[in-house]
Amino acid sequence: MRYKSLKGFWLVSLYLLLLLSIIGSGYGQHHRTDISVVASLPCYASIAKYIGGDLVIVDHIAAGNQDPHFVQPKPSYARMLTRADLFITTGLDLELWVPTIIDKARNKKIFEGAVGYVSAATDISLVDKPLVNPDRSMGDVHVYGNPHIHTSPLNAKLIAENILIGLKKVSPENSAIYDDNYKEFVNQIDRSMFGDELVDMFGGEVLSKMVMSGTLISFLQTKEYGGEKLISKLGGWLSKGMPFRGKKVMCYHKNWNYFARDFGLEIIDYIEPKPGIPPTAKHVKEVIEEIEKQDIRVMIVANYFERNSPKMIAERTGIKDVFIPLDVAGESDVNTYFDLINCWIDRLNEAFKLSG
Amino acid sequence: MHLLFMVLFLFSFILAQGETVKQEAESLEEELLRIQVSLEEMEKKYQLRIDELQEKIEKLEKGEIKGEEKDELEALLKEAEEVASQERERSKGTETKIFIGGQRQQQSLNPNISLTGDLIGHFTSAIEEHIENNHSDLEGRKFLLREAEFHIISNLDPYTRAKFFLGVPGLGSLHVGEAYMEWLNLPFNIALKVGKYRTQFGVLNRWHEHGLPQVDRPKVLEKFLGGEGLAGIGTAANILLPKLWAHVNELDVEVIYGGDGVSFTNEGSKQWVGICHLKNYYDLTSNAYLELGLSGAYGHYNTEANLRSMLGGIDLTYKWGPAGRSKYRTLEFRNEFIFGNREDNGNSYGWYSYIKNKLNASWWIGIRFDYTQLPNSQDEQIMGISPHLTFWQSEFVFIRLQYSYFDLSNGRNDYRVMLQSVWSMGPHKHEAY
Repeated sequence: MRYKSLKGFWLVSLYLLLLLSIIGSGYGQHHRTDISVVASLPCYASIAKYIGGDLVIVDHIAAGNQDPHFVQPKPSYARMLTRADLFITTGLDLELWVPTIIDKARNKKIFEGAVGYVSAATDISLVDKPLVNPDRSMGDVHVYGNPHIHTSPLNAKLIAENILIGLKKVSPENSAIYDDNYKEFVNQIDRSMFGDELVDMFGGEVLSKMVMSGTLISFLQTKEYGGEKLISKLGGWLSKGMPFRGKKVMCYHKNWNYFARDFGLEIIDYIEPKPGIPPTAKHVKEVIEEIEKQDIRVMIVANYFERNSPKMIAERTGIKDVFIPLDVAGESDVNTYFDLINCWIDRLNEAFKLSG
Repeated sequence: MHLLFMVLFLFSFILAQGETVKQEAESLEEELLRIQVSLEEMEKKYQLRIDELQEKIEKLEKGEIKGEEKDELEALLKEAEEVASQERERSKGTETKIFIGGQRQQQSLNPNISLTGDLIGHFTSAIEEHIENNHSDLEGRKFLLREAEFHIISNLDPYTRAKFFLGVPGLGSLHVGEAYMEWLNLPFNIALKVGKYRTQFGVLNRWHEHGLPQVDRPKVLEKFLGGEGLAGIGTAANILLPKLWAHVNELDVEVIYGGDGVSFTNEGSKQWVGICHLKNYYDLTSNAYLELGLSGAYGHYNTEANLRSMLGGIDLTYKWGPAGRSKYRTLEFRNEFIFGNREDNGNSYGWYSYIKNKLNASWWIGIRFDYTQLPNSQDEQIMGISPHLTFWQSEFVFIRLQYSYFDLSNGRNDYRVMLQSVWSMGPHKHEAY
């Protein structure tokens, strides 16, 4: 008898909870005019906000000072995605925690391949692609290539283009506004990167291609216009980065390879013996020897990594350790993508200056 | 006479001087004229130059660039474009183009396949032979490949996904641990699973052996849900509820056929077990969360006698992991309490509680407390304490050392030292948060 009543209790409870879920599935879906955008990383959120402007509400999952490889797929993140119109993620194998959250969110608009899903890395030329079939002997290898795409301002333009496409898909009625904002973003990146004079002369696209092919600086150094070397017309981040162009650096992880490509830094080695593998005593010893042998003056470390190994290496060798945020909001004053690049360049200049 | 000569001399001298002055004046006048002409020429020349420059400025102001400069800039631009495309030109190179058909190369559509090995070194002072329904697979063995498990996961079509977990426990025969397909995106925020699966009773019952926070399952789970956990063939719905009292509320409603053989029978015709779990998740801060779950299960444990059994459970988890440092610091505190009732055998209960702390990128330290009565004999109980140390070599390899002390109800004790090594090949990663 007692069990019969218990069975009834379970059935009634089940009925009530199902009813709640049916009511709740429509909860919050009404009277919402803003486009809800969620990005896996803060840099994508920053770019999305630039393009979407006041028409979008943007949120991000990983914190700016968090290792993007390791984010716990908490239910509250799934809740964020439940009502998202657009979800932006790298689309490679960086945020392996993303599928779990997408599955939990039950939002068919933002599933891979759906209109509300944006893979930011689409059409970006990736570096560090494994030359042979990757395996775990290579550490926590990224099978498609280096996924830290946002460290190149030139990649940011392609990221913005992908986000633009996503926004236009989910709210085509605002396409004209998004287009204008996207053009302004690209223009701002170009002018921030090369300075006004060169952009007026050559246009950002040609200059970007020259950076990608590694020919810009030599071109500017050899060619003249109006009796002056073109290099004198270089402005923006590239001009600010000239003091460290061609300099050797040590990095903790393969975070900065796109930045190094654009700004002509030479990364000699990494504190991690292999990507994602914590430094071993043997490898640290090798790194110290390499630093001394090659007279490397600066070490770049994302500010979410442990500080013991870099500090110890710095003490032993005198190398200047630079702890910088990998992403937007990784430090208090880094609020936009432009702040982030400025931060990197300023800190590196300061470090190289201090290192002599 | 002399005076006359002097006057004539002076007169001649004055006349001569006057002629010289006149000549000098004429010369100066000529010089001035030359300078004047020269200045006029210069003026004309510079006026022309000024006019040219003025014209140029006007043109520039109107946006017209002088032809020559335009040509120079255009030439530079053309050269820049050529330089910019150098990489692409090089990449075209002289490679011989080969045409390949993709019809036979469909490997990329194969599912994700991983293999996990779970090796246990086990040294014990006693064997729990006196405890009825003991399902410990560690019993009486020194070394054991507890399980080699294949994980096969793939999308089936745009709507469904399938997972297969095929295990070879203790180098025995192959058995299907889990095999199910699931619809992730049904209406009303429902995900539906069909097949054989581990049920969502509490938290750890869902977890496979190699993913457990300690070497062995907590005693209360082992004694109430069986050594292999409460699993069976059936259907399960996971419902993401609207935001109620917690930040996230989830409801799992499951029905399986075939119980654990302990609380629910896996023989006869009445093997149906109903399970439900309500999860209440709270974000305490951006770095910490609390999860409170309520579970229930109902079914027969003796088909022939038509005797039924019911389980209730409470689980509580607190986890702290600072966002920027979670790779190096994390604290996890988890508890489960299970209450059981059998129609002919009364009530029994048990619980476990563990805390584990991440010391740095590689090392975890933790301790678990166990207490449980036996569902079929409330007089018998087990209490235990299990400190453990884990070394994470990488995401795919870890080694764990655990010492356990169990106080058994008949006055006997069991000391155990366990060494576990888990490795994983392929893409499989734990999805726990």
